[in-house]
Amino acid sequence: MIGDARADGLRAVLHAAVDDVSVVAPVERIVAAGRRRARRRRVAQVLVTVAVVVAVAVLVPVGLGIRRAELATPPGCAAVIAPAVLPAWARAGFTDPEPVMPYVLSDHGRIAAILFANPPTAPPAPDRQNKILWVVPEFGGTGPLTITATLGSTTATRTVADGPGPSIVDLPEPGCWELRLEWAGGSDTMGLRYGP
Amino acid sequence: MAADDDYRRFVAERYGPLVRAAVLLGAAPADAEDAAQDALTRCYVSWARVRGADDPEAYAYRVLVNGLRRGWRRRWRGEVPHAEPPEPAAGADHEGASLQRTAVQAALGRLRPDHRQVVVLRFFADLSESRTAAVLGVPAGTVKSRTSRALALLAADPALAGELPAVRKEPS
Repeated sequence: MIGDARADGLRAVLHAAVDDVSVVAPVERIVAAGRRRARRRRVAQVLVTVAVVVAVAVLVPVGLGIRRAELATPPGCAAVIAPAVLPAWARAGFTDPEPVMPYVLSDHGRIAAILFANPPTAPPAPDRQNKILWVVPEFGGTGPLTITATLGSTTATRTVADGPGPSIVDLPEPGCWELRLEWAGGSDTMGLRYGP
Repeated sequence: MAADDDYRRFVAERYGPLVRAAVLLGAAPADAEDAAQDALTRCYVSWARVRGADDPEAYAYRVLVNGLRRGWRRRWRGEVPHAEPPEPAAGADHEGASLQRTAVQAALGRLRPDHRQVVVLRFFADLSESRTAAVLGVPAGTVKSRTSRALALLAADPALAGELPAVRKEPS
């Protein structure tokens, strides 16, 4: 067949065209180069693995940390509030110039709850009232302090008639209550734990 | 190591054909050596897989063609493949061979790259249609049609006049 002859002829032509390309295989050089390339690839794989491990080791805790922070217990829901020096604006009425009391600062720092029962309890202890002194940095208005307390599906509202100041706040049951506090000129939220 | 010995044998056997194939694919001789060395070096990295493959030769050609296709030329970072360049063949034979190579390269150069690859793999490397298809990553039917077209073009190429039997006029 003409096609076969053409193919055979082409084979012969191609081989003849490069028969004079004289080559000696540098076998050992190629082996050495192959080893170097294989080594580089292994190193690259190790580096990639290390990078992935480092990334996971760094990013996962960061992610978990963020989540943990989001889920963190509000300061006021600690089992016991550690006494600390009151902020300067909350010291009025105390004889000690740097009074140390257990207190909870609201989420945005607009109001402080100074606890005389630590923690307050539900129901109130027979020998101790749930006295809370509410203090705001500046209160020049009039009107009550309204406390809307939420625990799960339970909501309770308490009112301090004269606004931020001394109060007895009893809540229906123990737990970490979320308080919404509203007074003339401001509002804020805080978590506050009532013990059993 | 047995694997290295196998690899050495493979390099010794395949280096020359790979260099010559690279020349026919359009690389200058020095670049063709680089390309062959690069292809074989890559084979070393995957030698376990190459050795276990059905067709190590086709694998090497595939790496070679891909390297040339990318236009990437392996440099040896200052290393010289040979301590001394091989002596060229002397006299008229060498001249004749060079002329023939020039004519063949000219004819191959007028083909489309994919036709040229098929020609070199089918008629220089003597790969079957299916092996050529595997090397190029195309269907066997594509190889067949490219082969047919390329053969016709080469047969009609004046640079190969008198070289291919099919160049002779068929009886009308």
